[in-house]
Amino acid sequence: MMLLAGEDLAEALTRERSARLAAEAACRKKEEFIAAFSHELGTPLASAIVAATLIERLSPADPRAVTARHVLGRQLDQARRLVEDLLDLERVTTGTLELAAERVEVAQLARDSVAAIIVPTHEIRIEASPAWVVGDPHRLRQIIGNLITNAIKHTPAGGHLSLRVFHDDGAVVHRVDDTGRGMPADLVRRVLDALAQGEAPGGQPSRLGLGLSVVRILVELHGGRVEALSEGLGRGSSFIVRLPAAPTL
Amino acid sequence: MSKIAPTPWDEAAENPAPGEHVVQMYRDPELLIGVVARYCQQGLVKGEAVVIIATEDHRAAFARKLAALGADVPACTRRGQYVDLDAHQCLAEFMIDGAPDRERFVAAVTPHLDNARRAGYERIRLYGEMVEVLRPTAFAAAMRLEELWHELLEREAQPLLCAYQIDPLDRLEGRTLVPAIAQRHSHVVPADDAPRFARAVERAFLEVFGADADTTVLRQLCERYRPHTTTMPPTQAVLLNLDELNPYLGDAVRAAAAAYYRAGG
Repeated sequence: MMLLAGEDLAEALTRERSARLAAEAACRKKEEFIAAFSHELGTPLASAIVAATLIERLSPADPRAVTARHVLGRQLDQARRLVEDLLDLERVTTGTLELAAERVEVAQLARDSVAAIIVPTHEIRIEASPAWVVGDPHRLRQIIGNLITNAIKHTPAGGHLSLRVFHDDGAVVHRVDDTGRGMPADLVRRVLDALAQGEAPGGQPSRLGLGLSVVRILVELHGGRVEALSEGLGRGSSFIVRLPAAPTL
Repeated sequence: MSKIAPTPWDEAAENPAPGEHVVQMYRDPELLIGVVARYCQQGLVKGEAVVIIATEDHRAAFARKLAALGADVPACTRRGQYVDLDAHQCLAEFMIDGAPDRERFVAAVTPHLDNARRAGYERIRLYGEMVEVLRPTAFAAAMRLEELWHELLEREAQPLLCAYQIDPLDRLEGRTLVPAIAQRHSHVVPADDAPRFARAVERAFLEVFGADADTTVLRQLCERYRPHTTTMPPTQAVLLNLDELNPYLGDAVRAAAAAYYRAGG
């Protein structure tokens, strides 16, 4: 066994202490993540349970049952997306996420992605000029889907959403704007991180930015970048994704 | 769908229409004193008679508060416009084997209404807390007494205000007592501070079900799930119906709402 001299011992103790603090911080972050994820998954499941009970107890033709069926579908889909996002984060962490590299026409892909999201509560306007990128069509659809569902989630019923796809300075830009709750400046800076949490107006519960983190990671894996904008609470939000345009053939 | 009162909730307790049977739920006894005193004052000002059946402490507190609001209570009492009776003594007149007897109840209460009419007051406001005296130890008897009051009000076409010191956001009281009490009244005022109560329940709903657009839709579905004949704030109707749909989630909303209410809504 090697004995450490005084200075070496002090250095070893300092290293040990900082390693311990880092491990404790990582552990706390993991606990926070699990708590936030459980809450985030629990809310669509709670809505789905109530919707399912309403469907069970009301006559199938009752308009309330019809509405409850739509709620059930959307909430289960939200829960599924959340689990999918979590798995994707895990795949990125373990280096097992594989991306296809195909030429993809993103204007049509954007229209298809929005059409797959049924939202009678919001109006979604799409303006998309033909544009090509090289990437994984499934993941590109996921990027748009996550941005749109995030906007729906944070925009009260009756609000407006828009998705624009256009060329700008050698990049293909996807811009999602909403008239929703918006974000304070400090949240705008953190919202694309997996544990970003913010409080909605009225002190509603904090939330996990899992879907937006997945967007950031996928965009970066495609060689692009994403930016969040908001002029503050109650003033809507914008998310701008810039992907390298595919070389012309 | 639950009937939604078009006026603020304190209005329901302070200015009921003839035949209405309003219940005020409260935590803070001071709140009750204020509500009942304003209820009485509004009646006195309008030239109505007021008949109070309350505990000794409350009778004294109501009279003090009424005086502070500008009412000449001794003069009103002398001319038969203000009658205050002891709840325990009244109960003793009609309770048999732990349950209220219909005939004796009618015989105990109607003479006071007849006296007020003889004194020239056709409109009579009633306030009763015999039910709250019974509630902690004899809840079934209290509910039976509510039914007897209901029958009396239908015949007499006079309004009655009742009060219970219970918390609709408490798990046990909210899930068991509130539905039974609500069913036996025409109007429910569920808390000391109705707007704070509504805010607390709405925030709790968002906490449990998420803050997306579907939550608004779901809250409306819960509110309209089971029509109530009692008029109550939409948030109280949501709590009652959610308990029927899923008591576990009803408890979760109630617990979160209680925390928000304590924090100011």
